[in-house]
Amino acid sequence: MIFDLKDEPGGSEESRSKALAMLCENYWYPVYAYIRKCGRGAEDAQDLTQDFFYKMIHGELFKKADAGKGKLRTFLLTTVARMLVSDWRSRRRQKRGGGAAPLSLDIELAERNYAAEPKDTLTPEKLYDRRWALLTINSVFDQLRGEFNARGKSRHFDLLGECLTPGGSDLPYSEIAAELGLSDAAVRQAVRRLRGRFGELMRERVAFTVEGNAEVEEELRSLMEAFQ
Amino acid sequence: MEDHQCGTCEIQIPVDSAGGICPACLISDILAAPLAKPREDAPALREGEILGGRYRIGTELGHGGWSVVHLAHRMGNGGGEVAIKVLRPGRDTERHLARFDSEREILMAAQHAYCAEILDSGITEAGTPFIAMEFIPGIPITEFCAVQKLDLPARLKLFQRVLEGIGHAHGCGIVHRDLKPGNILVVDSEDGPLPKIIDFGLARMGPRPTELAELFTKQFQVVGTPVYMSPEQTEGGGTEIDQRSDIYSLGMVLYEMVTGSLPFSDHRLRVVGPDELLRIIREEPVPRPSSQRVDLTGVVDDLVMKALAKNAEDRFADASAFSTAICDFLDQPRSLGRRLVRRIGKGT
Repeated sequence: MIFDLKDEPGGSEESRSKALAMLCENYWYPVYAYIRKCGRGAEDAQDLTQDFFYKMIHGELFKKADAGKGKLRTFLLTTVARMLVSDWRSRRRQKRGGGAAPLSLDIELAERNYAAEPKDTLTPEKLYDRRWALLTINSVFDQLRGEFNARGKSRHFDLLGECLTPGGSDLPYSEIAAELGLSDAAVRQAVRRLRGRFGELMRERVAFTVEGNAEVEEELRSLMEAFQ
Repeated sequence: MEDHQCGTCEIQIPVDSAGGICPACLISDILAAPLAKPREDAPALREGEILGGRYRIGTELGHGGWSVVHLAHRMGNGGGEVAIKVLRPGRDTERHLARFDSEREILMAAQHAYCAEILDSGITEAGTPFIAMEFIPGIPITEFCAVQKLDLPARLKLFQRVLEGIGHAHGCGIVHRDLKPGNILVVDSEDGPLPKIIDFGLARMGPRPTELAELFTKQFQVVGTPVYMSPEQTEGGGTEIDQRSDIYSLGMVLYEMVTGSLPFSDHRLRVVGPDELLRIIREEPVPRPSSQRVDLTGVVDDLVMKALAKNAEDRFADASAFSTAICDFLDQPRSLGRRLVRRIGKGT
């Protein structure tokens, strides 16, 4: 669990590494986009994002906050919000050991993505939630594609993946069936299974970021609301 | 980078959404799906297993919170495919066993050409009860209408057959309580479209107070879509549920059959909180079908709106009255509606 990041005797090295890897690789862009949306420039946002994850990795933020309660998504958001109003900027280079950066941030790509974010009334918090939700979905989508590739069925995923939502594919099932050499009924069944598997993986992924299984459904609803 | 709009929920789909899929619809579908089977569960039945010396178990067709349904091949007795429903391991509590037994009794009582037929029942080697039912290789009624491009009279005649089936169940004192397109499958037969009402797992004999806790579980964790649920089903507190609750649910099914859409977006109902959800079902006026499709006449509006009245007293009293009103629209003799739903009130 992600909360093994805390400096607890029970947190194993393996789970800590796994949690760190997920935290850094998956969720740095929502933090970066939030900081940018709050009005910071690209260079400033890059430094603050590095600071934020440096302190995460070194456990300082978890010690300051009651990290064991609630969802990782909201915990990170409130923590980064606090960071922005604090006096960290003046102290960060010294605390980070002379500028050592924990992440290899592709700022060029991040800036391209940020430039394409909706310019309307989207608040920094809404942008953060939306990006978090999309990263979660996209990583599960990639995981599912990996499962198909491992079974030598990448073409199946190319065609069936678009059917994950009703009306998602322009092709009727009969054409997909012909392309894959299956019956219409088999395609229908395969789509049902694909949707079921996606749901399982999504719940597993979300469970990783909340305190208990009971919160998974609530967190899924929050992720959906991010797009409203 | 430009977003594009989802044709279903109308949100702007981020251009970097994997596969170009609408993320809101995707999560909405996950929330609607039954919760994944706990991994520690051993399967109730295994593919290839011979059950009771008479059924070879095939693939899983689906599962709910407490039972699982498998396709199976009948060995002997003319062969053929059947659906085997069995309690999931760990769910053989007194309450679930009683519920399973109740479903078996209800299926036996509701034998009708338009209701799924029970063929057999027994006990697995592990001591779990099972029911063997007719396997229906059909598709949901709304999907059937769309695929077959049925015209309005054909859709209404098909719906009358559903009324005949449910009218029979009502005549036997059974209230289905979970009527929706997915529980009304249609097979294209030599005698025309053949509807089959399935899944009497929530059905009850006679009027019965609603159980709010059960409904909430059903809404938010198991079934997912509450749009077919009657206002009184959301009331709790001992409100009686009778056959008019099924009339409401069928009104919603008919709404979808004739317009191709639902009056309340399923997506919206999943997004709002529980209080707002209940308010919408209980209070929010349903837009007339003709507001969705201009080619529909006021008569169709009246048929659907009467079935969807918020107050059960204002709905068709029974399936026979509903069918008779459709006869009037189709210029069929009114007696046909009563004859179609001939068993109502006989209590057989």
